[in-house]
Amino acid sequence: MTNAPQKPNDYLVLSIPTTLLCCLPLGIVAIIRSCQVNSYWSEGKYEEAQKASAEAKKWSIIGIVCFATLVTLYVIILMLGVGVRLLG
Amino acid sequence: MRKTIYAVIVVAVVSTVVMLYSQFDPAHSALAPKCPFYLLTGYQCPSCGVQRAVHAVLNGSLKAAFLFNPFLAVGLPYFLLLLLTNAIKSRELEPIRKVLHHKYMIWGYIILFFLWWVVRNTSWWHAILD
Repeated sequence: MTNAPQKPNDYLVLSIPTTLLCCLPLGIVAIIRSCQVNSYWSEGKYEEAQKASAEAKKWSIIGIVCFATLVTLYVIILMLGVGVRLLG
Repeated sequence: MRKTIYAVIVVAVVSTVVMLYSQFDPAHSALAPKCPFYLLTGYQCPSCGVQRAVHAVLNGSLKAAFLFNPFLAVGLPYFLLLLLTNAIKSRELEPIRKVLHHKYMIWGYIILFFLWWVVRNTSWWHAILD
């Protein structure tokens, strides 16, 4: 055993669905950072790996939040549309 | 406790989505969300067709689903395997985990993603659909 810190999470399980459903460019940024987590870690660049991990998580969450916001906005606009039609 | 709450939320969301998308055809429903990229540019994004594909699968037409978005046939199993190996941390699944997280796998996914984005907007792909 070396004294290497524990390998950080690559958050691939979060970044892949962001490209399947949500904001596309953000998802790709997240996946590339996910990929770098493992590469950096195997090269012994632990600090960079930690940073890539944090960013993979950050961009995945931003992507998912953007998607959720878009869907919510869509539903609200739809409800307004239905309401206006019912009243008018 | 936290895990139970997550499980309940996931089951509720999945069953609602299944119920809605099996009953309503998103292609002919004003209620289905439209792709912002498609609305702005007129070009389809790599995820366009996912709602129609889900509707087709839930109604038993696998071929139609595949044609709506073949990328989903790669992306979805990949994502489900990631979920599985993430949830069950057993030693037997370790080789699968390694393959899924390998950089060639990830880069393959990214390249396929962009290739599909281009290909689906070519007249060649439109001809296949007709």
